[in-house]
Amino acid sequence: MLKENISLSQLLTLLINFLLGSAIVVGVGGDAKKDAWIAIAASIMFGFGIMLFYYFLISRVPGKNLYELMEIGFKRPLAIIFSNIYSVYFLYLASRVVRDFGELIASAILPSTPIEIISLTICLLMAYILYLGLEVLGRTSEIFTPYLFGFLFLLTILLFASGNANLHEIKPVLGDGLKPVLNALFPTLIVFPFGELIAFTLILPVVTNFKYCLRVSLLGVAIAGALLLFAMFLMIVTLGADALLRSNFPMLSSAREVSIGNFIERIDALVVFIMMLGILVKGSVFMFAGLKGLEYTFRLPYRYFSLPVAMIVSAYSVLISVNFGDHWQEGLEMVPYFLHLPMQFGLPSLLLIAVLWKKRKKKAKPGTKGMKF
Amino acid sequence: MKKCGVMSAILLAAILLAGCWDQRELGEITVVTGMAVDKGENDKYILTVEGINATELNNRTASGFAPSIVYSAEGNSLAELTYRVNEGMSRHLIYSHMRTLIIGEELAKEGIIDFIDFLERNREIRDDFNILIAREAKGSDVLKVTYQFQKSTSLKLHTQLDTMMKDWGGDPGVRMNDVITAWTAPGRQPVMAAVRIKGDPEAGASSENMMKVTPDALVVLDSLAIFKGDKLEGFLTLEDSRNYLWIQNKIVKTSITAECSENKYMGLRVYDTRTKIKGKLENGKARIKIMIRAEAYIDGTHCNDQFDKAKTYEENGEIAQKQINDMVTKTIEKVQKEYGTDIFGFGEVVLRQDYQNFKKVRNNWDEKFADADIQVDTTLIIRRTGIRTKSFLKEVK
Amino acid sequence: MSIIKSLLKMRKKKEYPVQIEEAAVAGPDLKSMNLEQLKEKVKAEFGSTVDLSMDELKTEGKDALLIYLTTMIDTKLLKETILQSISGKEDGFKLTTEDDLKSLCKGKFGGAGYQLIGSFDEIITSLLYGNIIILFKDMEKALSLSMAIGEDRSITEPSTQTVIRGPKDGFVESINTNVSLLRRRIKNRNLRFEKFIIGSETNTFVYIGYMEGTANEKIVGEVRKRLGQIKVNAIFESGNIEELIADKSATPFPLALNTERPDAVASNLLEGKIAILVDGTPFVLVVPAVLVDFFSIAEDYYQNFMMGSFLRIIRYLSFMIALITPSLYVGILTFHHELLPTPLLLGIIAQREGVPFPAVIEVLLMEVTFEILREAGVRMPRAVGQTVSIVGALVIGQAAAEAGIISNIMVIIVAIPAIANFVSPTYSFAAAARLLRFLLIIVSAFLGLYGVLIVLVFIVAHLSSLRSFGVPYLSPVAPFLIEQQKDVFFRFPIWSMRKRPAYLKTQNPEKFPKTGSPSPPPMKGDQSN
Repeated sequence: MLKENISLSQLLTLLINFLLGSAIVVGVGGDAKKDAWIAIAASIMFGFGIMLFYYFLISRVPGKNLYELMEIGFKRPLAIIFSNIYSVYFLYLASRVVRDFGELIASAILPSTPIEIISLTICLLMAYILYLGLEVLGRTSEIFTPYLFGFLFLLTILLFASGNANLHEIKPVLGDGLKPVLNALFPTLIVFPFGELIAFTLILPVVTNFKYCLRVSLLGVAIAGALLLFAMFLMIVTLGADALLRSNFPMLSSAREVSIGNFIERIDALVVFIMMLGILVKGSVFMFAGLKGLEYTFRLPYRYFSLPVAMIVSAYSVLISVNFGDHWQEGLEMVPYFLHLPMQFGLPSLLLIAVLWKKRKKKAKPGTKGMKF
Repeated sequence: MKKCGVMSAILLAAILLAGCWDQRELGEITVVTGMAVDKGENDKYILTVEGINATELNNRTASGFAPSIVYSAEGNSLAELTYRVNEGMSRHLIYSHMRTLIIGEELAKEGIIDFIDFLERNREIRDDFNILIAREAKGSDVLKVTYQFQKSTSLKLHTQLDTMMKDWGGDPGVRMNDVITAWTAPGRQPVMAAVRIKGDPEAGASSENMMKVTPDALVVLDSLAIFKGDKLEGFLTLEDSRNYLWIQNKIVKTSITAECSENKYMGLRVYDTRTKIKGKLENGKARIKIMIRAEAYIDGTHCNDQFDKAKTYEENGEIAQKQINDMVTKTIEKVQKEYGTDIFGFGEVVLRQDYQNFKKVRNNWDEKFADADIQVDTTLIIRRTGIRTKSFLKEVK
Repeated sequence: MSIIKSLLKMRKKKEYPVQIEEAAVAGPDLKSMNLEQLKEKVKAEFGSTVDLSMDELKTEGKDALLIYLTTMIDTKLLKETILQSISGKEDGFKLTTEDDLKSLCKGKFGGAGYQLIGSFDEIITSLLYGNIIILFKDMEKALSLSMAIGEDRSITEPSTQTVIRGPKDGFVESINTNVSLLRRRIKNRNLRFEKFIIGSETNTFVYIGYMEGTANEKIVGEVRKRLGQIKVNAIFESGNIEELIADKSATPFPLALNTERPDAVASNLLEGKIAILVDGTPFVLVVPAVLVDFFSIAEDYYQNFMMGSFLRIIRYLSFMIALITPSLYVGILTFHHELLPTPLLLGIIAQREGVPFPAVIEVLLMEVTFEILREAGVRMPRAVGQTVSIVGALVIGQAAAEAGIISNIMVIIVAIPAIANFVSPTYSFAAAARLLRFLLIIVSAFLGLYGVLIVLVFIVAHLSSLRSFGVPYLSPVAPFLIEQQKDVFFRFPIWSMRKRPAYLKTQNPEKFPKTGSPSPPPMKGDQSN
């Protein structure tokens, strides 16, 4: 199998795009209303913790990804079962991301185009990128990240210039106390988007210069968190807490407000396109994580699976929920508790304990053959 | 692999060729720039749309026909009616460029909240069109009146209101999302600009109207419509409308007239003004302090004042200051007494600055507003006096 | 499983054999034949071609045979040197052994590039390269003397890549002249040229040039390997070579830079790149090429760095304009009316009133018309050039708009990208934009701007997967190399660009020691010194 490497800067941009991805599309922390930005700020701290945890897990055995670690921790048969569960989990998340995007496009810019077409096209694109490999994904995200920053900057300027941003909208700060903030924080904000960093346990081992990996990952979490925070702040001051809560896609709604000199208007369609890049990266990373599971199970390069798996994701993105409400509810009420918590924290903790135990055992009895570290 | 390629090509072609779902050729669309909603005779609403005849708006292609087509349909839901109007219009209607929504007075009195949801939910309609009340008229009649320059009323009104707001400030600058925010956020009631038809509505609805120096009918900005909840409560004058803007810190530029000596007036152009509001609840009584700071230049005077002394500036400034204070206070008092509805958003201010106390009175804020203690404090600085210091009036023999 | 297997098979790396073939295969020995036989054999090889000349002569007391192709050699030179120095004279010298022949040649043609050859096939090849052959009776070796015709097009200004400021000379068809143009620019002992003869039937000379001690040995080795593997019968232009050695051929983007400008090649050589010169064409290839190379021209470095940077940004911008303008027009006008300001939308509607075609057909119609005009403009005889441009501009543009077949704005939409496309300094790269433009137009007709963006991301992904001789095509942007950003979107002052491109992994990464910016001499009253 071809050895792939991604550079630190590519890891950084992947992290930023991944974390912003669908979080910026659907908006996070809305439960805290005006104080959503505080909730996000707090969640960044947890983001650091989560990133540290995954890094700690991965760095136990250098160069091995989550699935290979499982083999070390649990032996291959069990590892195959777990890795298949993870593949399904990641592919399900990929489907959710694609569905989020499909809903965005279908409700915002192409209302009568079947959502199947949207998810098919974007999945084909992901399949192509993943067929070309993780390096290409890294480079693609590297190229588009400056545009993401540029867009956010531009949007900020435009919103303030057109007088739609009212800074006093964020007052009163913490008017109803800390409770709404905590509600938003646990567990929704922690598992989404930060807990989803579990997918990076498949990417971290292939980063060149592993030495700086932790620093760069934390930097990525910090930048992405800051951008999320800023985006949320921007949405609150333009829309106000009420409209923010009513919007399915708050970022889109705030972009709709822009109107400068009767010329720059309705840039929401453009905003959608920028959001697409985040979605693309996030979906691809999840799909990559799922494909890696298949690679581990079947011992075949993951590229061969990229097209069929992308088509499965495309189909399931349409099939997972009947309508938007269903999709929404599933994402807010079911997924965090029944999927995210066990898959993001339960299993990895178990794995960490197993790996640490195995390592200790090995240290105690040097010379035993078997595990190759 | 070749088979796969061929198959995917066929599949893709099939999908794509079946496609173009959202495609609308320019030749198949009519741009709607204005919409009017009136009370229906049998059903709930009558929706009137104004579709632009683009060829007539372009000077090179215009040939003197009517610049737009106005058509009405009656029904219970606006969402349906926006497509039903095609019973009389030939092309797809595009609502993304809608500039003006006019609501008939009759309907406004009964309540308008029901159909606004459609406007907010619809992806095509923008959130920031002007929302107006047709005073003593039907909204549909307002849409029909033609005008020389922009030709269609909705475009004309859009430009006119904008210009008015920037130059003098009669239009409250209310867009749909402001109205919705006023409904949802505690401590504010919505207002809207109101327009009136001056002249004969019948005669206004023809292209001859555009050709006259004094048009038979003209849509003029009339007053400020104020609401309690979603029901029209009454109208304030244009002057009040300007003062309302002043309190909202939305004045860009305006002109005021102050009495400099008996029956003699001076005009001031106010060009830089900031308003700050402080509010709190003390023993259950609201205390609002409005601080206006303005800069102005003298634009004309009847008095003989000689503007070569700093003192003269100060004196005149004080006169103007008092004038503004009085105007603004009067407007607020009028609203407090006659309507008792907090259109100024003082509740919002208190909410931000005194949240814990506001929570207690949240549900009956309008009562608190009616007997609030309001203090207006204006600072006006006259910076300069045009291109003359002394007036020629003194030299006149 | 069979699908996976077939996939597996497909992905299997092509194994290139590494052995390097012997250029000439030894033919029958000369010793075994006498002059008559040889004469017959040469005649048989060339058949009845008119330009074969075989003269018998007697020199140094020996019968000899002079063979040459009259069209390939400089007959004047032949008369002046050879005939005077060889024929007829008898000065007691006896030509009997090979050593005699050697000393004869040393004395008479020393410095003139003679060669002693021993096989028949070599004789044929030498003849074809423009040598004369003298066969001596009973000798094992024949004398081959280069006398190739020296007539060339003189060095003129390149017709494709013109500059305002900068050297006006361009490469010509003769490979030796081209090498000399490069040598004259880089007077350095490390400049190496290696010769390859490619094309089983055309036997074309191909040189690779590089800076020893600078260029990455691995890349040079890779170039040698790929050139060695070419097995076609004919090479006429460097474009043939480009296609045969590219890392990937299924791409519209050129993976080797071609240029007519010696200064551009010279500066690239110094960066650590490798030039491939092909005899018979003024276009020289430079590999490895990255995307950025196609947007920078030599002139960027000859003028103020601010102006250079500005022009470079203009070039990137115009590439984007050339690529997406028509598809944006189609996408916005048929899918996203809300993106246009109301007056503009109404203006366009008024103009398009009565145009019978959908926007996409209108665009395709005009684009195809324009491409036809453009092709006609290149191919037509110079004399009718004026006519075609008049017909193109007036008839197609204006009349079509007047007739209401297309809208006026359409003419702008076609003209802007067309002009923008000419900005691209390399023709082959601009061609990629021309092709992809059509793809974008068609997709945007189905999916609007969403489709445009999908295709753009697709293109970017494709670009990031490309490599030119192992160097990622998008470097130094992706993978991102901070040091190289000085010469990507902006052109920094020359004194600050000290490093060679890191993506080339050159042996000598620094161009020159750190100097800092030039500064004025200290003022008289300056206390700080």
